Amino acid sequence: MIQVKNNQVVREVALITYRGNRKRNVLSVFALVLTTFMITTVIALGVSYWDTIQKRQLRMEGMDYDVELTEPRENQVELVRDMEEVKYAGLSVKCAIVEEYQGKMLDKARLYWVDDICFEKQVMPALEHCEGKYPEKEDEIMLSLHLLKAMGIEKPQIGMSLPLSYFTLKTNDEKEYAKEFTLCGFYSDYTGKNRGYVSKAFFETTGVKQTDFTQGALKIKLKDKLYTAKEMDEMSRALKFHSKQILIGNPEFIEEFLRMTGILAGMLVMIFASGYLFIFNTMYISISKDIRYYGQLKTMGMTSRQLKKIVYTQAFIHSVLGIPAGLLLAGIVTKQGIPKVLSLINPVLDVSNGVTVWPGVFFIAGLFALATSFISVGTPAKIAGDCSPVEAMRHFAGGIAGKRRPREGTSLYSMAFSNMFRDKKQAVVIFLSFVTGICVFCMMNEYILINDGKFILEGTSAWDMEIVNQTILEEERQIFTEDMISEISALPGVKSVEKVSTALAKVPKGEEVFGEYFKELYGTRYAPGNYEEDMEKYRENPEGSFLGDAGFVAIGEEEFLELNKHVNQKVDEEEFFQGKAAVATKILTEGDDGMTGKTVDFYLPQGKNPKEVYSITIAGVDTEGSYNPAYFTRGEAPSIIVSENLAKKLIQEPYVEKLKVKYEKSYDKETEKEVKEIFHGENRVSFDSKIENYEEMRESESQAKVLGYTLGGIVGLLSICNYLNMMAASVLNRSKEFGILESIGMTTGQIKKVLRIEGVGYGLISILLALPFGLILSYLVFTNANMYRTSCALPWGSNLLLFAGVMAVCVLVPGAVYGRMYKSSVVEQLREGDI
Amino acid sequence: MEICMSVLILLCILFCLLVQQHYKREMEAVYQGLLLKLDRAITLGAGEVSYDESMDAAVCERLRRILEISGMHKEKAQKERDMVQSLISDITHQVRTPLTNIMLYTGLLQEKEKDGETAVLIEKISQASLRLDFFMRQLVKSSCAEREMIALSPKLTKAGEIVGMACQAQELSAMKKNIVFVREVTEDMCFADKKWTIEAVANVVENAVKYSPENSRIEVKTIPYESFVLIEVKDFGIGIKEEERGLVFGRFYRSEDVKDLPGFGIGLYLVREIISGEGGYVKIKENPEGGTIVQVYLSRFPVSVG
Amino acid sequence: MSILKTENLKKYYDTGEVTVKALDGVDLSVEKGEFLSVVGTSGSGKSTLLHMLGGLDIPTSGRVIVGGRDISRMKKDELTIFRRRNIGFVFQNYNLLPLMNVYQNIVLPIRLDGIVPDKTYVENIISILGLGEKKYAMPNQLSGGQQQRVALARALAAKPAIILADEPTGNLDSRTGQDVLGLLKTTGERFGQTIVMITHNDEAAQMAGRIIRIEDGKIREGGRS
Repeated sequence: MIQVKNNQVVREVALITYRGNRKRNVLSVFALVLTTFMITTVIALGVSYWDTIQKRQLRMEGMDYDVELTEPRENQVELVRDMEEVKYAGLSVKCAIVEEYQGKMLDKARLYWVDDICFEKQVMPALEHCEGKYPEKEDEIMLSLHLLKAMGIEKPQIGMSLPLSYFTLKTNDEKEYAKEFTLCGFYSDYTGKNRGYVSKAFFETTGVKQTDFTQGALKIKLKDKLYTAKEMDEMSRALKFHSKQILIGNPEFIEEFLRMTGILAGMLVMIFASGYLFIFNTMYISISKDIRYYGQLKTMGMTSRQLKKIVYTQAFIHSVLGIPAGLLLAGIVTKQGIPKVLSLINPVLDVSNGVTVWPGVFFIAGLFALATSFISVGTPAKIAGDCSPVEAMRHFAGGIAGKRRPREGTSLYSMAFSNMFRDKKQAVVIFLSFVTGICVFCMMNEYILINDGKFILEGTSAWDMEIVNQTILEEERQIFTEDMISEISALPGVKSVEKVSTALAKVPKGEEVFGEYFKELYGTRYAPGNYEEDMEKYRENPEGSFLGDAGFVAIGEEEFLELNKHVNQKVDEEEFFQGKAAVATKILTEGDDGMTGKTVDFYLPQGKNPKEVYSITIAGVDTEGSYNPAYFTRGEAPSIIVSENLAKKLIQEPYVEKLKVKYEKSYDKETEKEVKEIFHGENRVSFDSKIENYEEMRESESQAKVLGYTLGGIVGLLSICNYLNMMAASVLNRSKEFGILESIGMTTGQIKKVLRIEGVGYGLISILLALPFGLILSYLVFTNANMYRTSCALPWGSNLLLFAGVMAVCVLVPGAVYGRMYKSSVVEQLREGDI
Repeated sequence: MEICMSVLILLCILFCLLVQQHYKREMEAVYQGLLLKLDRAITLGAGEVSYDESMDAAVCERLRRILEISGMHKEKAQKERDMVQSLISDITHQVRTPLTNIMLYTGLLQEKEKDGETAVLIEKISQASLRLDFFMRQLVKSSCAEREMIALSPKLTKAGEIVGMACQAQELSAMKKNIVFVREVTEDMCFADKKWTIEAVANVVENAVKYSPENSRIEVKTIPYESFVLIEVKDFGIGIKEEERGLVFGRFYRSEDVKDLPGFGIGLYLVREIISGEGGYVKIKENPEGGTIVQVYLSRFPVSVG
Repeated sequence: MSILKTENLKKYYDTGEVTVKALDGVDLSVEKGEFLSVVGTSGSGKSTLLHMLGGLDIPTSGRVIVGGRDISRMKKDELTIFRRRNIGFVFQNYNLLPLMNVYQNIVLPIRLDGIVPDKTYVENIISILGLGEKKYAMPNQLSGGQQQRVALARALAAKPAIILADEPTGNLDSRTGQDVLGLLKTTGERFGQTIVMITHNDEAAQMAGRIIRIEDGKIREGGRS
């Protein structure tokens, strides 16, 4: 059936209607620009992030693989290659290190042999540029351009001969070899490492085996890039490891990836929601205001479908204007900003090598924005379509006024209250919009807080300056004299100075106390050797074994308080300073390894009575090894931390390893200068300054601020615009009512007061609603983005400031809107409402 | 090869689409034309029909025939009515000649016999024949109104002029009752057929004179409106009851109150026919000071008679 | 032949505690070409009656038959299309679309029906209603009377069989009102349209061929004026 041809006229009416709403259109287009911009940015961020992860291994290792199996046996190689989840696996063995070329000493120039699979499928994709072929003959060699450059060869020629001297990596082979190689290929990659490849024949001559510790590796590429720790465990079990073999992978990646996706999706939802709410609200207001107009069109014979089409056409025009502008804006911003943002999110990622935003991102973002635009006019379109033609017959605009229930009271408050919920839908929209805005802001405040340099430093370092005696490991010289210390404390800006002294302690019968710790330590890859054997040796001769070593650290009062925050069990201050209790610290293992509460016997070789055995109870253990008062640890040995007083009793003059200084005022640059002045010319000390650390963090802090405030600002702007818009419409709709009120003796001031009370109501309710969500979200942000492991804190200050801001906007806007709109007389108002 | 094939298929699809579009547009045009013709037919009649092989023309032809058939029925009925009418008209004309003779001779007789019983008789004959003559004239009037003999051709005319002519026609009868005309005219123009409109307004004025008491006045004025010019005739006579105001325009309607006055109830009917034929209308109001106000609204804008 | 007929038409509004009987069993029949006035005080149900006749509102019970079709049984969009082809409206507040000029307003209903407006016909109406000079003016540049004439032209333009007028002179002074009423009457006669006009003004009602009075949702008296 051929339809009656009236699309044209419907389009025309839509256009005419569109032109008649200039202000609203500007607002809507503006909202759409912002929404598009945000959506694009977030999607681009996500895609670039994924892209960066994808290429991470490629860039860092110059090889495309996901998991690495160390020291693989032949049968394991076969086993891996037959695994279902494995795409391919290539063998790579580090076999020699080039030492010198024509008198030039080279740094870490490693030569690898890789098999065909590895070279073609894993090395090649990671190369930026490659010339020549993989070495076949024994004297052929392929080198990275980086290495060639280090050798002083700017323009390498294939076939040129290179006399090199090298060491093989064969165990116990310390000999330096010299050989004349022929360059058969060169390449450049992103790693910037000195590296070369050699032929199988050469590899065989070196005598290095693929099962040699740390030299051989099977680089495994999985079918699925994201893998869990569980999958890795299963794989390990199937491979039946020998001795120190491990499977190196990064199963946290999936977690990180999911977290990131979650955050981005959450952001998208927020943006989508605020964009939706804004466009919905503008259209809703304009359509309820024009409901008579739509009613008229309906009496004239426009069907519901045509009316809907009019509304959708308007949405379409908004989209045509808003989306490209938003995309353009996003294009400019992402090009500049994304690498910075990415490095902020994960400083480990290397993004310096060109992040390109895939054009599809814009397409997807455009679709997203288009969907936002169309979905948000859905309900308004329905309202327009369903409007009753009888509306057109009504003689007054704003039919709501007639339906209202009688008021409960006549006070300004009850008036304001009933007005707030007069249009329930709108009230809900405003609350949602505010809640979204406030939540985003809360999250941003949290994010900014945990990226705040001062905040981080406050949480991680209690001292303004730490000065380390660098001689401790070698000759143990006392640099920090008492004079020096008193000189520092005499400085006007210095609040306190504390010493950290260290000494070696010998534990003759430590198995009971530290045995569990060492056992666990031996279980890890870091401590080669056999626990049972070493322990046996220790039992026989406690003097000679390093298992009998322990650090003896003495600290002052303030340091103790700080340390006490990090122990598994709070240590009684009095007992500590009386010398009855100690704190133990250790590294690399988790848990307290059963040390807590045990008594340790030790003697101090450098003490007053070198052979006297003392006992002390370990009252608390720093289980995470996150806080170590001393700078140098004695290898894997645990440290016993005691009070300064005890140390003085036992040792004549304990070596001061570290001075910790606290200023009267944090970040006092003058004092810092003066402190450093005292150590002028002394190069055996190093400084760890809070001010300097802060300076380093400054950049990431400011980036976090920019990112956070931009996102929060845009969402906030949308909700404020939304509120403004709604208030303006509401005031306009009620103009006749205000006229009536004024005519019966209400002053303008009172009307403004009613409006202000309404505003307070909106603000309060929004804040109350937003508070639980905001706090929960803040906490989520905290747990997910806390890179510096600071303790949880909420940005109360900035949140309160935010709430105050919201309240201010809520209260000020209505009065201002009213004041702007009605400078006219009562009569005019009555008349205007009449039209 | 594959590229060739796919291009070919693509071209085919494109071609099909184009053909489909073309026919769709063609169809739309046909329907559009048909709609327009039907619309014209509703208001104006079939219009010209071209005779060619197109379906369009064939449809038009059928449409014309439908209109023709319904027109024929109407025409036939009209013809029959006309025949009766013309018979009546003929008879009345035929009757008028002897009637005139009767009146003439009665007059002559009256002059000869000035007194005595004969004179009284002659007087009675004369009065009877006068009444007969009046009735005859009314009959003619009504038959011409009925036969739609009022061929109106409205032209831009001065409303004042119409008022002048109409009053002039009734001056004599007014003088007899010593009634004065108070005229108040503007220079406004209206679209009216001069001859018939004067007749209509004269009819209104005649009525006013007829139902006014002696020694009274009749106010006639023109008032300009945006779309109309109003000719208002106000008398201070017996007035018309509210419930009768709509009815007096009906044919042969006579109020109970004026039963004893001569008349057929044809005058106001004729007035309305003429005025609405020109795109105007007539309204009767009560004169708050007693009497009647008849308002004749004449259109200011040309109205095509279709 | 009656073109417009209602049978035991009822419309009740439920406002919670009380049920308002806006129309309580109205039987009405309008002949083709008739000019009918419906008078009544405000709240008498006359507007509701007009809404029902125009299919703008759905009756609680009873039937509305327009040109032989029961419009109270029609679907919403079907009704809309029926309305735009058969019924023209004239409202008290003109209801011109403020963003379109006079000509656009007039031809909109025709164009909505997908028909290219018959220029001569529209021009004719425009000149009959004396709007020739104002053809391209915007509604807010017109006087009330002129706006109502545009509304009338719009109602006439689609050649509807029925014109429903809701207090067409309600916002006009008596002189302009009379003018518009005259046009309504004469054009209606000219184009053979059936006119139903509701008004609370007795003088305006006098223009009609028949007046019915409605009180409390019921027809109280009817007759020719």
